[in-house]
Amino acid sequence: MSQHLSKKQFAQHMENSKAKFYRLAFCYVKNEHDALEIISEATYRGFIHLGKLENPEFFDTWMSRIIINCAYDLLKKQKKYEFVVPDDTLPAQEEDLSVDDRLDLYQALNTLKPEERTLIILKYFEDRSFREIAETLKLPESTVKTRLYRIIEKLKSTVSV
Amino acid sequence: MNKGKENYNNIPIPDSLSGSIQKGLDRGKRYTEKKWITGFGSLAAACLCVVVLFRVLPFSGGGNTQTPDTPMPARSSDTPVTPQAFSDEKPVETQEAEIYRIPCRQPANGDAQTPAYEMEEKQAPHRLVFTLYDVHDFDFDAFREQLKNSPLIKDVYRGLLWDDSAVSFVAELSINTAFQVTEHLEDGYLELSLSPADTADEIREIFYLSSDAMASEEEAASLQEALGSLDVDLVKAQDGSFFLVSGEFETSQEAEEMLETLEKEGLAPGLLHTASGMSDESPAGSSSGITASRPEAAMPSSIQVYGTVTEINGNQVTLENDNQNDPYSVIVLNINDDTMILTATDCIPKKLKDLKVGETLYAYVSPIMTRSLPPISNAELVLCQIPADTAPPAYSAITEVITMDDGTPGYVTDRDFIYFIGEDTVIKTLDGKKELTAADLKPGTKVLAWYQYMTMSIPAQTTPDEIRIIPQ
Repeated sequence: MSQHLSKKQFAQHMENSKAKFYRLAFCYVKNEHDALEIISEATYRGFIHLGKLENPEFFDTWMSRIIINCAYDLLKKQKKYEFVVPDDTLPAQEEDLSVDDRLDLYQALNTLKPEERTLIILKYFEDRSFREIAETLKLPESTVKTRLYRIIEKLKSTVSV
Repeated sequence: MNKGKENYNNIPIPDSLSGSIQKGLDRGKRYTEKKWITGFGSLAAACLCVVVLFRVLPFSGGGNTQTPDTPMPARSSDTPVTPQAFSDEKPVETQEAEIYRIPCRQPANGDAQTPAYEMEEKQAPHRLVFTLYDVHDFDFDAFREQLKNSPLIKDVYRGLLWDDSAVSFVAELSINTAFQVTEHLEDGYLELSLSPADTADEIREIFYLSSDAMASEEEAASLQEALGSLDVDLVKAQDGSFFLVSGEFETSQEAEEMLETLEKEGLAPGLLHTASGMSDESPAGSSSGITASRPEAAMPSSIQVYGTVTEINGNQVTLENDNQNDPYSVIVLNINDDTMILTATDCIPKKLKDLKVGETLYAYVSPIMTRSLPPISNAELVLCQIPADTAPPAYSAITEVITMDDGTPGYVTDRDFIYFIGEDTVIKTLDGKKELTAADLKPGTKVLAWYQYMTMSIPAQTTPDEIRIIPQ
């Protein structure tokens, strides 16, 4: 049976998960001001559409989706996401490290498109399963897997050259 | 890869985070309260109208009145009936809102985050851009008929279409018009309410990025395709032409910076330029000052790209080079029937099948290209069999023949080069079989030119060793 969250419960859930939500937002914009703006806007959208959350169990997934959409909107509004060339001034000793060790996904986010960042954040930073990611993004699980592996290969090729 | 997660977990959480959440919650509360007040206000207004109607028209029959269910707006040309007619209170603007219903429904298989519609308020001119998703029964022409006589609406026209299931339209508002959009998605419509605003609009200059004027919406749609994912929308000018515009900036500098960034990211130069207009005005049209800030230099009709062929797929050839500063270091060339493929030394015509993976090519492509990665563009000319020791010829179109101070003729090209004809310059037909003269170099003529060096001045100048004229 569906049970809607009350406004008060919504505020409580937001407070409980605020650090996780903030990190998610921060990854898209990499600055505090914009990340806080995303959180504020997402809270507003979540609040006014609370009735659409059928099952409070999925609050995190539902809210993450709203935050991701707000981040996309902000980037679209600013019409810029810096496409930073990966830093190639790595210390010489790192040459011996494997590609996986050299791949700093957090830094690598800067080189990715917003949609690609989402997959990396959810999978590697938030440790969500493919099923959960698929649920959050409303994509087939197989698509999530294929896209993610493609992004990783792309990132690996940039550090291995 | 653990390093990335460590960095992620170490993102510092600001103290003001709870404040931002609270801000969002407060906004949400205000929104729901306002919605309730609006609903109550409408009811109260309706009651007031009934009372007023009886006071003003005590003997009126019921035969000539609009039914309350009529979705047609209350026309502002009707005699406005205000409370001051019956009291000594100060005049209060209570002109009724015009209400329009726009068909719109939450997609049946959609979730909470699948939008049923989008509405954006834009300036220069002040307009509302509606995009309705998953709408199949929207009679746009009938809707436009309803709105076009309203004094609160300047114009209504179709917007850009992103896909077949969406409908987009633009409603230009008259000056000092307030609007409100209320969702009734369960009942299958949006309610657009327009009324004279309580306060005058703040008129200011708006800067934005604009295309050149286009004669039709179809032309605009094909340019939109070339602009890819860039957020653009359609604006109708005063002379009936159309522009694609993007962004709204307070200063021209911001607009120029944005254009620069977009061009660095791959937007073909010349497709958009900075423009400005007053927030309540439509652009005048192709002859207006909208293009005043546009660079005067003619846009090159093609862009030079080069690289090694890494893939040939049907009629598409992928070129790659290692130059990190080259915005087209990877590009896909569309080879079509109009594409000339020539050898770089003798201009011998070749075919697509003659091109091989691993071969170096120079190509001249249309500046209209997709914003995909890599970009895809139609190739106008492809030069193959590039010799190792000499540079391939430069391709350009003569735009003007000028006379220098010493009387020498100079041939200005669309690439900002000026060619001079020296004693040793050979001018030939494309196949090299027939000698021509400088008299054959007329504006509009496309040429291939071989030269050793070129001055660093702007425009660059050179005396080519050889020029071949491409038949029109």
